[in-house]
Amino acid sequence: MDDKQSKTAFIGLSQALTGIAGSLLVPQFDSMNILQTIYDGFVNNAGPYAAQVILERFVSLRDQGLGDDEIAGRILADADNGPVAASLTKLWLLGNWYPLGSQSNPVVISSNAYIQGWAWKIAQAHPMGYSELEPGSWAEPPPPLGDYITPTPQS
Amino acid sequence: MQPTSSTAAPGTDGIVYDVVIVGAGVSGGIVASELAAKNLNVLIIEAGQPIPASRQDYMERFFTSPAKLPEAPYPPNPINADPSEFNVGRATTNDLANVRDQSKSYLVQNLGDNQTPFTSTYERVGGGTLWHWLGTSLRLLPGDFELKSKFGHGRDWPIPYDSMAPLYARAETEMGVACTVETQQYMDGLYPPGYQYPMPSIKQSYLDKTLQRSLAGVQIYGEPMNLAPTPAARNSRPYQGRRVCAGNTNCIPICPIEAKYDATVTINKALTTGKVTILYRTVASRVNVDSLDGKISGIDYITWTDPRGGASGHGTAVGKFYVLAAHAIETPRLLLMSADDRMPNGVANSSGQVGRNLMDHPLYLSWALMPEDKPIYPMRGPISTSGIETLRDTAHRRKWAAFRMEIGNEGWNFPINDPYQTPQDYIDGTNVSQLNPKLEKLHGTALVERLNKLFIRQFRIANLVEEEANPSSRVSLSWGYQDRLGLPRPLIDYRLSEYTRKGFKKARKVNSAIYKAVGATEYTVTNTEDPTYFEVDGEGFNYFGAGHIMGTTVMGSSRADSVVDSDQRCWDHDNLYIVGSSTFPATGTANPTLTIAALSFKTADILGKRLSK
Ligand SMILES: Cc1cc2nc3c(=O)[nH]c(=O)nc-3n(C[C@H](O)[C@H](O)[C@H](O)COP(=O)(O)OP(=O)(O)OC[C@H]3O[C@@H](n4cnc5c(N)ncnc54)[C@H](O)[C@@H]3O)c2cc1C
Repeated sequence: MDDKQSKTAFIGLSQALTGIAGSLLVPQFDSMNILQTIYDGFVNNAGPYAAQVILERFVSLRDQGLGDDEIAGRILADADNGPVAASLTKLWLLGNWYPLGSQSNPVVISSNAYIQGWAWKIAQAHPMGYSELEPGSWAEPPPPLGDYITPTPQS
Repeated sequence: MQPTSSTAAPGTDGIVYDVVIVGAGVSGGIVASELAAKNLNVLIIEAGQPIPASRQDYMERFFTSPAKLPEAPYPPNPINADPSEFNVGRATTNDLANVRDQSKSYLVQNLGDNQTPFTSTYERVGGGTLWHWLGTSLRLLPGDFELKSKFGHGRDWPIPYDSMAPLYARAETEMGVACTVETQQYMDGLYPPGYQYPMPSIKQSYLDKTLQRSLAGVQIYGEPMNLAPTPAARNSRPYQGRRVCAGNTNCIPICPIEAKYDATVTINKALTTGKVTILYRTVASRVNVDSLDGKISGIDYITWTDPRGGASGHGTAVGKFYVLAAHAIETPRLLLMSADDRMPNGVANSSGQVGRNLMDHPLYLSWALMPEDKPIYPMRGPISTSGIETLRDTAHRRKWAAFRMEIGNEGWNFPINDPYQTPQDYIDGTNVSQLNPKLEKLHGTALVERLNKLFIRQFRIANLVEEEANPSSRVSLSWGYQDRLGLPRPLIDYRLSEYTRKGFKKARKVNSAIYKAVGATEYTVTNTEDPTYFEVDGEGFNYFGAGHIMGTTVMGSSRADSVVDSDQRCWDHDNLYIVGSSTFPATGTANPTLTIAALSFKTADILGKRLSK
């Protein structure tokens, strides 16, 4: 896979694992350069070999015509790819890379990765320390979850 | 280490200041600013690094720190480091994971004889600990000043509430406290008629309003469970050129937009007068006493350049008056380190009380999940916007310690580090959060939906429990363990009194009753392995530090049993004052800084008068 193919596969895999549309994970105008940030965080920490193995596995499952849910389920069940997929899911949600199979000693990828973490949106909130909400908006319920995360398009 | 010689270094060479202050935090900052406004010359000696030109430096440290602990934004990074390697150590929350290991914990904690650790922390950088305070700015209540005479516990203050009221008003103006007076109805007579804070209360959170509705009419121990918006030094409208609070939910460890007051506001004001000099990276190491008149003749200091590099120079600062403002562990440490043959117990210590009566507001934490049909959407707004204050000054204090209940807007961040823990549980199939009892492993939309359903219902209550002065809880010197400058680190002896323990028991009862009344499911757990574990009447508890370090140079009405008088002047040395919560003889349940600020104004007034003579 060349760089472009790898990144396309990476977005597809990320969407399958997180349930968040690839077009949301990586917006069309990626002004924060989030794709490169998360992709580099992933490859550098998982290692290029493990990264390649999981992306190729994703491509082969997708080429079999499987849907996101099935693909994610199978990859997470793989002995080798499973822990890598779990750490990648955490990376998107939390902005941290956790060593495989571990919940401690995370590596923070960058301030940008922290700010873009999806856990905050899943909570219908904002990253602690970075809010663009209106002062006082905390007195009322937030907009519905769908305004933060549109459901994954079924592939 | 023995005192260094007294060659004056650049910055203090040959100058006699009107006042020399140790510590550039809020207490030292207020004294400096008030005196500078009276055209007096002030020197501040500050152990830590300078206030950075932009708070973005500290924000970046926060964002990229794996554990978003209170100390995370502030240098030096203490994680996995040996405190003996740092020139300027401090107690951190990271140390608490290693309280028994002196190669990791700056405070040397004596845990023998059923003692438990002291768990509050502080910063040693320009601007002090207020960088990561929450901003809660409650007044002490009248009964807090009469704990001994009215309720039979601990000590009284030598001053009544009434004498504090005008000083509180000044502190509220300086710090920009947002509060609508009418919301503070739990106590009569707190404010003079017509009193107004500089700005109205910050909006209560959706959580606060939801709880308030469900608790209407609920009484526990004879008191209504009313949620009052908490007076806080956070802007509800622009103030002193600072912005309105935008609800970053990050007061601790750092407000990204300085909508929360911190000491840099006052220190910068002081600096613009041109009358104040601050020497950063300058550690006061010894208070010298003139053998003839017993007055302070100078304060020795050590300078440094590299945080781990040891001393780079030393000197002596000389003034007409001296003010120690190094906070309640470092101030007594400095006095004790200044012992010599004439004063073997240290400076200002003829009473033997220096370092004693170490107190906090030990914190009982509980947490719960609202029912599915009543989400409260946390992680928005300031970390806390309301509290229940009705059990703070009741007749119950004869039997059990008072407490206040702080309602948290940051979900289960404090109890279990969410939003980090629950996602990991559902990704890895673990149950650290207790929210994944079936050890499910989810992915995709199912994961998102489950997490959402749980996050939006989380809340916690932090109970700040009162302590009574106990001379055997203390700070002394640990000569066996030193910092990189060769100064002995603080040695801590600490335990909770029966009075405080009973307060914990009641706090748990009240919290659980509140959860029941609002239909929430409680998840509070007690860890018997944690060094803070204690029991009362067979019931086990853990506690956290509130960050409110008090009592180590207590104020009193007699030189026989206290360190300072009601002006915060040391009984033993006519030109030495101490500002900060170390002078508090009783803690009450108000977070201390407003009272620290009020008393700093008082001391500044007295110094101003004495210097104008
Ligand atoms: C997590 C947390 C949350 C808090 N929230 C609240 C709250 O909501 N409300 C509230 O009222 N209070 C709160 N506090 C407490 C508050 O931070 C302190 O009461 C306040 O900072 C004390 O001010 P100070 O000026 O006395 O001391 P500090 O702010 O600690 O300043 C002391 C200064 O002295 C310097 N210093 C120390 N030793 C030396 C030396 N040997 N030589 C020279 N300089 C020295 C230090 O570097 C520091 O700059 C909180 C504390 C913590 C830890």
